[in-house]
Amino acid sequence: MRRRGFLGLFALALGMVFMALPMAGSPAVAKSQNRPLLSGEATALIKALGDAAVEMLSNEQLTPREKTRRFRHLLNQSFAMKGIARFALGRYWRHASYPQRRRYLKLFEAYIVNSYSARFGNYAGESFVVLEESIDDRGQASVSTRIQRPSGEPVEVVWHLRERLGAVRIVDVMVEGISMSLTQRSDFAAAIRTAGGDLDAFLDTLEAKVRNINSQPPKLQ
Amino acid sequence: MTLRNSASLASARFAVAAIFTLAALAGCAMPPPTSDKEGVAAYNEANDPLEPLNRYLFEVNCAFDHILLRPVAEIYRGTLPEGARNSVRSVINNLETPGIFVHDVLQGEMERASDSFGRFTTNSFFGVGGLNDVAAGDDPKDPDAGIPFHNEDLGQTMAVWGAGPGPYLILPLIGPSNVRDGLGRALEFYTNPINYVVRDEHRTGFSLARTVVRGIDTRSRNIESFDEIERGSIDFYATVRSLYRQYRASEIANGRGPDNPLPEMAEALEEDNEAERVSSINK
Repeated sequence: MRRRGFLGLFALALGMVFMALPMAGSPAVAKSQNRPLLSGEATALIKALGDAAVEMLSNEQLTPREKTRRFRHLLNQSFAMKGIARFALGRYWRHASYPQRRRYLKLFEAYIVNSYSARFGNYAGESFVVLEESIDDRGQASVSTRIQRPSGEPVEVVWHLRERLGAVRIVDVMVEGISMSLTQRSDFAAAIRTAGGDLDAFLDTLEAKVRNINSQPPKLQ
Repeated sequence: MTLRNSASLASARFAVAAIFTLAALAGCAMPPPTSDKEGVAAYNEANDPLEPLNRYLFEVNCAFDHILLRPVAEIYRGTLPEGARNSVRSVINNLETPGIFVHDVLQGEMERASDSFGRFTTNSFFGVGGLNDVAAGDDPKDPDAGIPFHNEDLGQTMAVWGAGPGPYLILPLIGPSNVRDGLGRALEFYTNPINYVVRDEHRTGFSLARTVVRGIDTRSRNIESFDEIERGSIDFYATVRSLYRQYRASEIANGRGPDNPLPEMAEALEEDNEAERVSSINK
């Protein structure tokens, strides 16, 4: 009884040492505590996201409202939304006050959701295939996929993923070599400069954009 | 063969002179004071000292697109069936391929040069002058079969040889460019062997016709995507500038871009200590 208890304690201690080891290991790992992604992990996440997106888009029983709700859920579940939002704001994030940051993060999410939900109606049976996955020396994964379109050229899309605080999330999407995060940051940087560097004025502009983006119906052929 | 056709060189020279005159009139974007380090970094990243002039020309080009190019592209798409439009594109691609071959070689890309050579011979003979892109072997079940078209141009060759892009430029009618790519475009005419096949007096027209048809065909394939970019962006001009820079970088790298294109992004993802979150997940 006592013996078993001792062994159990020993096992526990050993376990704790082992769990602590990777963190104390190399200084590089200790600095950023991101777990390197395992092979196949990112691919599985992208596959699941793609299947869920295709299922949602092709489901004709869903109301636009319900589709938007599901999209928002997928977005927050699969994308490092806050990190992407911060990156898009660039150097202005650091100078922003807490209320400004909160307002910005809300607006950013709404901006992405509204931009994409306006296009749900354009879905025409696109499907996608995973081509390959690679993991770089920092443990971040990129998954290349090809979106097949019923008419028109296939589009190559590369998804960049990393682990942070226990969750594996997408940090950037590259369409034919063009980074969506970087493009967004260029757009915002110019808009803030136009607003004379006034973040509140920029946030007003962003809010107006969020409201209007859905009210302009897509031009149909 | 001698280069007796100096018409396009003269027009290029005129265009460059006109741009600099206009630049002097319109003034340049003021760089931020050197004390503002981040501001200077952003200014250098945009690489757009002629921004006021460029914005003006961008507006003019958008108006031209709205009045002429887009309507023509819509008619083209609306009247010709997809097969016919693909043939138009294949013919133009095929006519550019000898020039692309030259640039593949100049860039030391022997595998791609052999692709271009194979595509040109195959499509010219079995594809009836390029009407049918048989070399690409468009099989929806196996898109990797066959040799797909790839583009190269003088701007890319100069980049591979070490030329930087130079300031961003909006070219009248042509659109986003930079000093290197603009110069490349002006001299491109001389690097495509196909131009020497036709008779002297038809060369400029032949080259111009290809440019116009290519422009309409490309525009017709991007009507919805351009609309979406315009609708989604706050500053359309700056968004297009960023897209152009990234697109060219990707073209120059021939798809062998850096694994992690966003080293700066790590910082934004790292500092995550504040309590606030993107909150609406629970709504």
